[in-house]
Amino acid sequence: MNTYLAITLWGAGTFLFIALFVLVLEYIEMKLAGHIQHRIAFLHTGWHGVLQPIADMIKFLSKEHLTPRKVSRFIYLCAPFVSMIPPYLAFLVLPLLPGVVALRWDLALLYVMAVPSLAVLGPLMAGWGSNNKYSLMGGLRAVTQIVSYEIPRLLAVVSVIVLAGSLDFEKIVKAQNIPYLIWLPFGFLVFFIASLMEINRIPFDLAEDESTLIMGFHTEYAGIRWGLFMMAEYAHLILAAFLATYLFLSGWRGPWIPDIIWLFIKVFGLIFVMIWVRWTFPRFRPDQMMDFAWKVLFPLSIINFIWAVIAAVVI
Amino acid sequence: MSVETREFLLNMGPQHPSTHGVLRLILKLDDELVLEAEPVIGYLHRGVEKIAENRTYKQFIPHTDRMDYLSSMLNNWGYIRAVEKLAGIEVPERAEYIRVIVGELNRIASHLMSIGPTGLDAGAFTLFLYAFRERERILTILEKACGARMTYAYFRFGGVAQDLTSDFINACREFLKDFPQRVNEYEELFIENPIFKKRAKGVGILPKELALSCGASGPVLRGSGVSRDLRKTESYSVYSQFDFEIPVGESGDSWDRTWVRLEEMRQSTKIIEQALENLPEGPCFNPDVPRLLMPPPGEAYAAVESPRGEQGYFVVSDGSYKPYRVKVRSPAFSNLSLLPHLLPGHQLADVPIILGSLDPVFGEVDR
Repeated sequence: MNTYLAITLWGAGTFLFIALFVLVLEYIEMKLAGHIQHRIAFLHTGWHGVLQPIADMIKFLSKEHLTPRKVSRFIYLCAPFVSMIPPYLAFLVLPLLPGVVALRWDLALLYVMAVPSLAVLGPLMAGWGSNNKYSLMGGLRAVTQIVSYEIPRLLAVVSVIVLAGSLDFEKIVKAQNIPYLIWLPFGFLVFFIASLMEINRIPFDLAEDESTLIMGFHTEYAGIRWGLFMMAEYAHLILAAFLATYLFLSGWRGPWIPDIIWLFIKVFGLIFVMIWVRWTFPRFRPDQMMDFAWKVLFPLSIINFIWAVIAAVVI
Repeated sequence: MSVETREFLLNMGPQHPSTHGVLRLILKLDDELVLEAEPVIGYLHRGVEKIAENRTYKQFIPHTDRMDYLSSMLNNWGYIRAVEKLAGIEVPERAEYIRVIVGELNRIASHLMSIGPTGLDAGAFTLFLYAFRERERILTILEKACGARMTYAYFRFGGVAQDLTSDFINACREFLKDFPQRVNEYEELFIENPIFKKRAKGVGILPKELALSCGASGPVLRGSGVSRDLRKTESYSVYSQFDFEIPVGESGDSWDRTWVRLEEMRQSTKIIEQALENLPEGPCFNPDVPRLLMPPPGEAYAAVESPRGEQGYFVVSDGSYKPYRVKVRSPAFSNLSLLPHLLPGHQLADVPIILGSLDPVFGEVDR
């Protein structure tokens, strides 16, 4: 019984941690975007606008729950949750430090690769349930996208598994006396780009391509339901940054300063790059995205995998 | 089991973030592929041409501002030229120089508003705000000349409303000093960006013959490789005294049209520099023009090169103080008529890019 209680508490703690992280991230993103674009971004809610994400949340929560008339109600209402829960579940097995984890599990990496992928059901349900042509196109694009990026991404992860010989994050990190980024530069590249596709942001934000599809699959959502989609997107972003840190940047390991600080330096560094890319590049066209994923990322990930196998034998 | 498939009918607009105003596009889609496109216009129709018949010649000037609201100066200019031609009004040289300066500044502002939103259509949000930053400076400069930021009504028959102040000239020089650098920045950041090149190269190819037969003009025509710019071919006003080139595209795709606009901003900068350098002394309006203009019966057509193309005005006078008829030859309207030819066979995601590269302004399309 005690273990269940412990797991529940850990789970709640993880959820709070991620929810807070999302708020911080929203602030960072808006501020960075502002500076990239020669704007000031928000300044007036608290010191340098630090309370703005909280104000936004209050706004989302206090908005009216509009349900358009001809939607298929059940699917429409479920979609935001289906979209949000899987990435949050993945955090249960991510260790912050050796031992500091909600659920220690040997197959953690497999779980992390499998469960967040379920989130694509969210956009698909939202797209189908909204009874809106733009939403439908957005939902379909989300599915095309996951089909394209998932295989190269998995191959990049498998190459790490080959080198580390384990699916446990602690062991993977422990195996990286030299970060795998050095051994598998292509692997990191493929993983990072595929992660950009997963988090559904420019240059790969095809599912919500606002110049064509208005807001894509969440066109018909407002208030906190829209907010849930946004939180899901940020949760995916955080997850991608953590995963890349564990798999390629030797996790929390680093000289001189405490491990936890190293971990967050790496995670925030990756998040910074993602935000930077987001506010700099134009977006791909759907067919170009598929072209890119199948003709560039996929062969690259195969080469990387073969290289990893050779490296594993040599090491 | 047989599965029936149907075309997907998508009504894009008139309320849509990337139709550049109030265009409605009826698209027949096969998944992402556009099979047929039908533009529906008229949502911004205000009957400007009819209004002209109930105003004195001078009173109609502010209405021209509100047609192509991104390049009001050049709209003013087209109308003023037609009436000046009709009434045979002489324009002092200083006035012509001032017209060239404000006109070219307005052209830059308008092209910024074309390239920025094209960036937005392609997903490059940052470029959009950069373009706005520069446009803001131009609007502030133009405000110094005439007191308005967008609807200027600055031109008068036989000159301009007020002379340029030294404040204006200094601000203008300041702007010209670092603007070329900004243009390079846009080129590096966006026009030469591999993703944008992938998005726009080979998309919406407009063959020369089609462009000519549909009456395309401006950057749309020049993007297709036809070197026709009224500033050179008609060299109206004092344009023959300036040294500038006409950028011409090669393949006529969306990228070429965007590039032509970028290049034209550089040429406009050159023209303004020369005009400021050689700005002659003298009056900035013709004092002989009567307050209530009554041109002799007759008709006149005059056009200027607006950022969108040949902005023509056909004015008929019956000798009274009101025009008998004013017909506007709107370049954006002619360019927009290319859409049904350009869109089929492209992806849905290409639609905003192609539309953006035609750069329509609906105040002018619908009038």
